Amino acid sequence: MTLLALCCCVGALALAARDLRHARAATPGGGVHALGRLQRVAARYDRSRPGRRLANRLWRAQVHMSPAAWRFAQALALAPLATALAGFGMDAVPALVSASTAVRVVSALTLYLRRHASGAALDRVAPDLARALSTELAAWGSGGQAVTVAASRASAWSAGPMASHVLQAAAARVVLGGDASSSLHRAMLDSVPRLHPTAAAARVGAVFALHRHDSAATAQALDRLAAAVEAEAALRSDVSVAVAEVRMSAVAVPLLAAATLALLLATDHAALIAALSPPLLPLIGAAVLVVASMSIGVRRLVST
Amino acid sequence: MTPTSLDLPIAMRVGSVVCGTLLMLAALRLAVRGGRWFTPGTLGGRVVVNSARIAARLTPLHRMRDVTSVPTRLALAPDCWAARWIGAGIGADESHPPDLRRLIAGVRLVSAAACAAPVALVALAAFPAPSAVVIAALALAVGATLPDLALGAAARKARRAGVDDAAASVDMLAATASAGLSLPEAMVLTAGHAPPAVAAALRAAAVRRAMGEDARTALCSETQRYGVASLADVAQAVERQQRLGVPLGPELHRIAERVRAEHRTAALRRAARRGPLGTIAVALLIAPLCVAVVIACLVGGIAGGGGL
Repeated sequence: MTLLALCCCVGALALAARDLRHARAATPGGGVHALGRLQRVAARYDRSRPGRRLANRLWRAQVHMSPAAWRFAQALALAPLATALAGFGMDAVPALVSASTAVRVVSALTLYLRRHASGAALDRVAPDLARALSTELAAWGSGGQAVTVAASRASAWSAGPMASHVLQAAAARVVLGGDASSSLHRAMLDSVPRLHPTAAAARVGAVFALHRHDSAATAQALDRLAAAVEAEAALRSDVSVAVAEVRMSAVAVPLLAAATLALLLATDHAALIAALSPPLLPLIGAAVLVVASMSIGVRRLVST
Repeated sequence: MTPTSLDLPIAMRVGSVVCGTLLMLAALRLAVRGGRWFTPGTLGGRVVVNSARIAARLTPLHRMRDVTSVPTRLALAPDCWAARWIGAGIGADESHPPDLRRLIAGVRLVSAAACAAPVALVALAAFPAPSAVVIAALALAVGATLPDLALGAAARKARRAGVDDAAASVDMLAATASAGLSLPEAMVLTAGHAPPAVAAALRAAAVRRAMGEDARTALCSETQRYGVASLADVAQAVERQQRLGVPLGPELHRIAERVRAEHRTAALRRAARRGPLGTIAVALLIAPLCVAVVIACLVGGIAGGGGL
């Protein structure tokens, strides 16, 4: 009965949100009062210190949501989980607390595991950046012109949010009177704070800085660098394809065994008791350790 | 309930086993991947410096090859934990220039103490005194060797990475040379965006060139020291440029293309060789072990249920 009541509550909330959205879309003036207040609260949270900190983490993980939207998505995930826990017999407050903890832990873990995504995204667009900058330099443009023109054309060649972000930030600095290469470097560091000097994007920035010495040679070097980065990516892809089967089997075989074991232990109570008691428990623990280390070892063997 | 089973509820036991397994996997992952999970600060630096003072009187903590190998390894693997401890010692040491031989001996002493102390405590609690002393002595020896092993492994890894990424560095050198920079300037600029092995070789060669040494000789000797063979071709190109006036940029581009092609061939050959090796490991080791675990649980269940 509790489960049914909570399901009804969640359903009512979802329907209300949908109706509110539809009403706002149909009549621009209607429903603005409530939504406007909500938007103001969201905007205030986005501007706050925790909001800005979360925005940085979201950018590093390349999750293109505002902090308020992220929190709202967490709340949406929290509701069904709390409902399910309540359905299993837990009281309302402990269910809410447990679900909130689980959702927050999972979302924090997701952001932590994807913390290098911005660096990878910048490296992916490095060839496009290099070509966009070299076009103007090849036509005897200055460094500042190269950055501003590339920024203005970034939306035209659908560069993606990372390339647009970097070029727009660099162009803004150039417009304010900054040096082109320093502006590009600062924009890259703003987008990816821990940008490694050997990363492809950092190399693009370093080669672009040579335009002060020779624009034409720098344009050629940027084109060559773009081709080299693409060749490196193609090589990585070829190697990855060649060993994909082994990489997958090194994970799939232990996972299939774990699934079989879980099924067996879930259906056979005597087997579960035996598995959780000596001497089988240490043996299973040792086997899990050995299999996990061998699986990691095989993946590393074929990856390097 | 069998006499061997624990008195905990079944859900708690399942939860504790799952949590323990996850923690073990996390520890394994941390051990395999390494990473900068601990950085010694000023206090660590003082510990290293004070240990170095004590270690100066302990001959077994000094090695003959420290004079040549330690600076090279520090340049190749600055992120290794032993290198970070030495770096902390350099920060806390007041002597200029820092004595790396003394500091590495201090790190060896710290590592030996850190290894031996817990092992000795456990051994004293579990074994008779003579055995405990032998075990503690062994732990002391292993602990004193650990910094060298870690630095050596990290230096070998950096050398391999340097060989793999040499083409990108040569390309960068070509770009800087084509833009009209002088060779030492080009080498220093390239070193800023190169992997540690190439960066160390280029910086050392630039210093020797600035001190008046011939560029080819400097590059060749530093190439041998840091194990980046492709820079030897760069040295020859530099020599040709100085002797015949051949432009350096196109020469370096050709070298970069050749190095890249060689690297591509080697990587594909390695993948073709290691793929079947991985399949053999999965088929002969991982799969039988997984099946054995499932069968053991099945048999345990049958035996526990009175089926056998």
